[in-house]
Amino acid sequence: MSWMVTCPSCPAGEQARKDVLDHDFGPTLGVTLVPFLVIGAICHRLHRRRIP
Amino acid sequence: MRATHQGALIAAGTLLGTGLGGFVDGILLHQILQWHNMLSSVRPPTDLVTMKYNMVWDGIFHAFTRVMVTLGLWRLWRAGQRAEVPWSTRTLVGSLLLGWGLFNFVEGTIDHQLLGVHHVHPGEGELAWDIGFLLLGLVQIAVGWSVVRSGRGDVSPRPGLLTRVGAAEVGTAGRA
Repeated sequence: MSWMVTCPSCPAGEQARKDVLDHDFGPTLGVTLVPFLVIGAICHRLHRRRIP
Repeated sequence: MRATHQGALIAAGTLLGTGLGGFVDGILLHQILQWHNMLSSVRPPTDLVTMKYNMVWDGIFHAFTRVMVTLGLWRLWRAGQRAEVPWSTRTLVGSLLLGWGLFNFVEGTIDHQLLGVHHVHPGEGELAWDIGFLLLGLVQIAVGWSVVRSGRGDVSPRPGLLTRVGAAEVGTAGRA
């Protein structure tokens, strides 16, 4: 079980973090960001709104 | 003075609701229940490396929800300083629910249905869970908007604001 204690800096953990940067980082960042951008645009429109 | 510019408060509440709704998803579904992770349908977390890979993307997701909360707080602070913005509990609470519902519906549509990067509860009944998540979002949007509308008669600015604005105007006139 010793790997559990040291894993945040173990080779497998470091490799996983490195993989995130090396493996489709831009497209995946876009996928994660898209819902927030859509909602941000909706909020921008709501900002000008008066309730009928 | 009638404060009728509800949009500023609605936008602030919606941003806050989106961020807080994202935290509910991330904390409850990703971490506590561990039903899914950000990329669990394209990189299933079956070993240490893929778990850590998903953990990083969960962290990035949480960073974006944190940005939404920060923007919402900033907007709320600005709204509270404007005399034309009504300081309405109903408008704010409805907007919070509206934002949470928007998060569930938009994130569910894009990430679950269109891109398929993860699903609410993968495995048997996966589609039913995803549709339920979308319906929950729609209900939250409908209820949130109706609560917002119920507050459209609230036309008072934040208490104390007019006094300060009036004092500032008197001070300006006195100097002129």
